[in-house]
Amino acid sequence: MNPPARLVSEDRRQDREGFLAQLTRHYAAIRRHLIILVGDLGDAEDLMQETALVLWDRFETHDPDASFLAWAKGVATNLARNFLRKRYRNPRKQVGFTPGALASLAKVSEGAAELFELRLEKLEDCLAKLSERDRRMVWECYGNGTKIVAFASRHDKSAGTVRSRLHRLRERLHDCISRKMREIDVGGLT
Amino acid sequence: MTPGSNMNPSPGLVREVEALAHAVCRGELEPEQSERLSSLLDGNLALCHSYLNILSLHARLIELGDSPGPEEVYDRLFPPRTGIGRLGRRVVAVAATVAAACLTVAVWTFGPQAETPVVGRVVAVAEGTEWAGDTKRNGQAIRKRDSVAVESGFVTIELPGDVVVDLVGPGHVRFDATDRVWLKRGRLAASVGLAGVGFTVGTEDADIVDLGTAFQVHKDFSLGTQLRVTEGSVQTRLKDDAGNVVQFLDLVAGESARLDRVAVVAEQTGDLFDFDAAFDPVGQAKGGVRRFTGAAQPLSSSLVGLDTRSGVTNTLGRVFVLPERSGLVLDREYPVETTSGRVTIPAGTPVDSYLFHFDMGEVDVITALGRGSTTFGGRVLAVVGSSDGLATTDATFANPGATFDPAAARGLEPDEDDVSVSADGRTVTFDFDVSPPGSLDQFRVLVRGTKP
Repeated sequence: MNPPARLVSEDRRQDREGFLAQLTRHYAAIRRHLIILVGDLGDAEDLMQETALVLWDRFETHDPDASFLAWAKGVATNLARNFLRKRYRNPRKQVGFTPGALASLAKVSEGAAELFELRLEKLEDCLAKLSERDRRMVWECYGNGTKIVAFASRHDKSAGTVRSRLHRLRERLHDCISRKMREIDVGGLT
Repeated sequence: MTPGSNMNPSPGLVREVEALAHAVCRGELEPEQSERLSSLLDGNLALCHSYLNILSLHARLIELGDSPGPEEVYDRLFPPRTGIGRLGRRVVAVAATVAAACLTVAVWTFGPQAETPVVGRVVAVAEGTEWAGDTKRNGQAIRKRDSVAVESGFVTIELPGDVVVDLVGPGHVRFDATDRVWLKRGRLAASVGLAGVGFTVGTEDADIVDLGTAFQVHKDFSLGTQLRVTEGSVQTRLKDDAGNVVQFLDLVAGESARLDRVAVVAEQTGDLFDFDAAFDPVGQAKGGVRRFTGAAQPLSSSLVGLDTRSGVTNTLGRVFVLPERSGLVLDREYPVETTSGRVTIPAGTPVDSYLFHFDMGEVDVITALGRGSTTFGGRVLAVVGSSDGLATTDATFANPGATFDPAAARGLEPDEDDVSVSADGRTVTFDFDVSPPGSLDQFRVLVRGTKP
């Protein structure tokens, strides 16, 4: 016997609430994972939408006792791989990878997750060494074109100048983190 | 064998991969560079590691510079209009379906086409405040998801439940709901009435949940979130990277804490941050004023000690409200001439005083300027508007060191200036006209003090 319509509706409503709550909670982590895979924020946001739709379609099959984040990252990884594979076959491609490169990246991404986390902890120290103005620039507009334009306008600079500065800051931060990692000797993988 | 197949790549190859990774981050990778990068990474885990080091840094920096709140996440995932990029119409159609379904969920009750609800309003903007985003003005409505960012000075926003939030520059806060704000960085003080219990300040590190109190927060990237409770108690909830609560820490008045998501720290501390230096000037600038409207404005700390002699400081149409004495207990009966007749304030009454100052310098024509109001926490005892009355009360209530011009007609002109007190005795409304040649107008408000 089918359950009464009212009960079905209530179940669906609770599903949607649960899905949105999980997706919102893990949005940042999934997006960060996609940015690492595809490099570009716009591409990552597009893939994030696609990931959300796939997750929604398959939410009923997701085991509520299993990690939503791990499941979502798996879906996101597959979508990003397809995206990068297609990009590689496209003559006007920008970032694209062969299946072999993608497999190697996936292996390192999964196997060295703790090392990446450790590097990000060192980022805190390195950011603290930047000037207040540079730190503010990173906080206010890194990676967001619209905010870069607004920041440039407020500080009487061109957007290109701000963008270049942000890229130089990333390079400096990378060097700083690598120095700090060498200091604590993590086995030559830094 | 691919060029990158060596598991111990040469420094030259590492540098090449790093340069290509930075090009990926800049969005400037050419097709042939992409092929080269792919061939270097294929099978070489050490080079993959070098590449991912930079991409994970890039992702983290994006997170710092662009961290959407819960409702912005919703908008990004289910954009309200077409033209959302690569996914095209299919995504729009499906997203619209999902979005429509989600409208039944209480937490997402408003659609993208609906007017965004008002969650609060601006009740004070300090003179000299420098904005890092859109300028705000007295009385301006703050809508759900509005951000307010100041470089210096301060702005006060009132929310339902008797919640008053001071954002002190440099600082950036977003208003997510009537009972929740997100402090991206900087300094915020919250005063919460009983009806506002549960009001929450979220940061990247933690949620700070009010339990009927006043508290001050400083969000700094290197030290995480620091908190001092000045009244009542709060509950803090440290979060992990995914936003899950991992630790609770309850604090009461006089206690301070540091909350750091990255270091996974939620601990009581001494004040690592100088809360007094950050927030005392705001208290001094506002005194016991609850709300400013129209031309009424507090000064930022740098302008306290303003020279109020005629023609010295042009207030440019604003009426500066200068707190003077706080909690001065009268040791005898105090008779005073007010705008509504003679009043005697009983001995033992605690009194706060405020000087209202308006000066447009020399003017050529009669001009209607300077309309606004000020609402106090205590009941207004007297409004002193005449030049003689001001001179008489200076000795008791003026700020030590304040300079007044004895020859100037400081007071209000009965035919041109109108000052009134509301029926509940807490709001003073003013409407100044200025006539040539001078435009100085001052009056003093005596309020029953809250701190005897």
